[in-house]
Amino acid sequence: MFSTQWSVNELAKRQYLFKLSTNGAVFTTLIVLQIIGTIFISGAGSSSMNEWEEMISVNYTSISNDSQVGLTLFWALIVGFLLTSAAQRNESFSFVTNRLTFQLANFYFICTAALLGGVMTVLIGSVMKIVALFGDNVIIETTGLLSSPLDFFSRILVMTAYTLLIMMIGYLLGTLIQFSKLFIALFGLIWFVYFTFGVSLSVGEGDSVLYFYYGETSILVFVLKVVVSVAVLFGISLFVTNRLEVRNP
Amino acid sequence: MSAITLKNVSKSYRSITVLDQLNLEIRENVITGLVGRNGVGKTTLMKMIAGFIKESEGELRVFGEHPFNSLKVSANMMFIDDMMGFPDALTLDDLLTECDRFYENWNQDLAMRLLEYFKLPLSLNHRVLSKGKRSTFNAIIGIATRCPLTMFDEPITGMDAGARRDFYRALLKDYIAYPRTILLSSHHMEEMEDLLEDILVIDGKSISFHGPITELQEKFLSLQARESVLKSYAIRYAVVHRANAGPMTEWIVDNQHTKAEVEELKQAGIRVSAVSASQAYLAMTGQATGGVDDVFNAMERQ
Amino acid sequence: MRIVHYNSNVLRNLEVVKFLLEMDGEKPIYIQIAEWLETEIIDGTLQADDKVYSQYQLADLFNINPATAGKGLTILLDAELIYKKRGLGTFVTADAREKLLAKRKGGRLSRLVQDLLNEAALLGLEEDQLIKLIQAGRKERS
Repeated sequence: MFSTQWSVNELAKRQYLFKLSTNGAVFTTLIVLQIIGTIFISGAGSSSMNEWEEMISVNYTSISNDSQVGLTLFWALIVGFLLTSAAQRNESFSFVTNRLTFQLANFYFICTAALLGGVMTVLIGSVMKIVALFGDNVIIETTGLLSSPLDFFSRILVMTAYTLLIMMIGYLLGTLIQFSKLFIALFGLIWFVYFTFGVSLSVGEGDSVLYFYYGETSILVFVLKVVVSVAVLFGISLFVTNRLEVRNP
Repeated sequence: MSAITLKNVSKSYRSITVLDQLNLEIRENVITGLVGRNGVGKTTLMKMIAGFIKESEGELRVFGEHPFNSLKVSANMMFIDDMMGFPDALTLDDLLTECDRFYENWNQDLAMRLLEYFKLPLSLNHRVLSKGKRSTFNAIIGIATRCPLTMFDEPITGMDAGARRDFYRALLKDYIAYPRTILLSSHHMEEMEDLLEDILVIDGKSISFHGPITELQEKFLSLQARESVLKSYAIRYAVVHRANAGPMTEWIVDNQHTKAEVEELKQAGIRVSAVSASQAYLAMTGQATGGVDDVFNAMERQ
Repeated sequence: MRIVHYNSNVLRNLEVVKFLLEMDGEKPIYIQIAEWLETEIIDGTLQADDKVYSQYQLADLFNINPATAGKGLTILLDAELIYKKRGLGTFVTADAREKLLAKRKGGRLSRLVQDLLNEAALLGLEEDQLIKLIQAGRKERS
């Protein structure tokens, strides 16, 4: 007769720990990606030189971690997508789970990865400043942990929120494609239509979907918007996956 | 008490019906062999019971629970097959740790000892194992989890003769010590028949026999003699299978003879003997040797 | 729709079992076990009131399912060659050996004689030739 009885929470936790131990590569990928990105892409900041008639010349270099942000968001999309692969699913279903605990474990994992992505990307900015100092420069304008801690942490929060959002979008896309391959065609069509007609249709900044997030000036409202969006995305994934048959080639 | 109950359960993919209206009760703490020819839905049945896939119709219960999306069934069930997915990043040692995390009855000591016996180093990765070694590892997991319901789908794929014998022996010994409900499918019934208590024969989307294996065995008798002798003395019996072995012909017939009838057959020089359960199964499902001869005979006649 | 009735009643097959017991050639494993236990009793390995192997011991020994081993024991129980003591196990009955000797003389030996006669008929041997053969065989042994 049955002996074992798990609660959903307990099992989601165990599946999450299992995910962490099997997907360590996800985190090392991000680190390697950022190191490569920092060395090759943003090594050259944008420079401008102002020369006066006299002997003084001032060399402005502005450095930014924009490309690191881009890399992290790209990584987030791919990771979210890959989490829905059949291999990931079969591995989870080799052990104790149901579709709900499987999804919850994925969600916890996504949150962890997003947090890491957020923290890393902001910290890379600080590293770049330190590197710049070695180049005999004087840093004039900056907001760092010591000068404005609140700003520093809010940047981490915002970056984490964006990473989470992008990862969940990747996750939902993957989930839908796993559900039916017809979605590949649908997404391809949407992509085509958007780039052929979509760009010309949006007149002002306010029309863009993205503006809904980056146009937000209140950090609290922004966070709220992201949380609600993530909840909706996860809800759809949950609904779609709840009937999915597994280990069924 | 039954561990698994099916009432009019069917499974179909779009218009293709894989299993049709199954009614079945699998007894608790019994080793049941699941046999049938390729593609009759053995794996589909097991995956439904495991909760991996959902029945299209009917009522399916595993220990009283509907298995699809049931945590209770998942926690008390182990399904072993050669397609089992294990993460590339983990070594065999790590995988044992994961089993310990998820399965309450997991016996680490037994698993370690069996891995050592079968020469499977803990530091290896599941992916680099040969087909036979992988099957052996999966089978060890199946035994050491000691789940109240353990299912093996073609567990011996790729194993050499020694490993197969050892696996069945290990399973039997652990079952004697810790009785549980076991479902075992294999195409090599002769190797596993002694291990089984019950047998479930699936043929053409439905069940053609379910009961104690000894009962399947008792259903038939083997008659061996020259074909002309069989034709003159044994023609009145229902022949399920005919085969030629040299000058002798073997008929497998329904076992409904009186003692006097058997004496008469013996006096006519016919060798009357019992059949093994696997012979009975093969005859029943038309797999016994000789059937394919007809194809070539038909071609020659053209 | 097909309904398969499940019947696990061992006794239902008693007639079949009796029949299979008397058969030559390859026998079902539980019958082999019953015969093995009978031989153990006849040759004195198992004496009256000795404890008989449990079905689990037999299963381990013969590498078979415990239920099949149990079926072998049931044959001996039905023939009253062994008896059960609640919670203690099964034991050899006092007259088991005598019963078996009588049974083998009456049953198995006469069946062997039948087989001998069948073979003799096939080869066209007369009765006196057969008796000579038996006598020659006995002389060789002694």
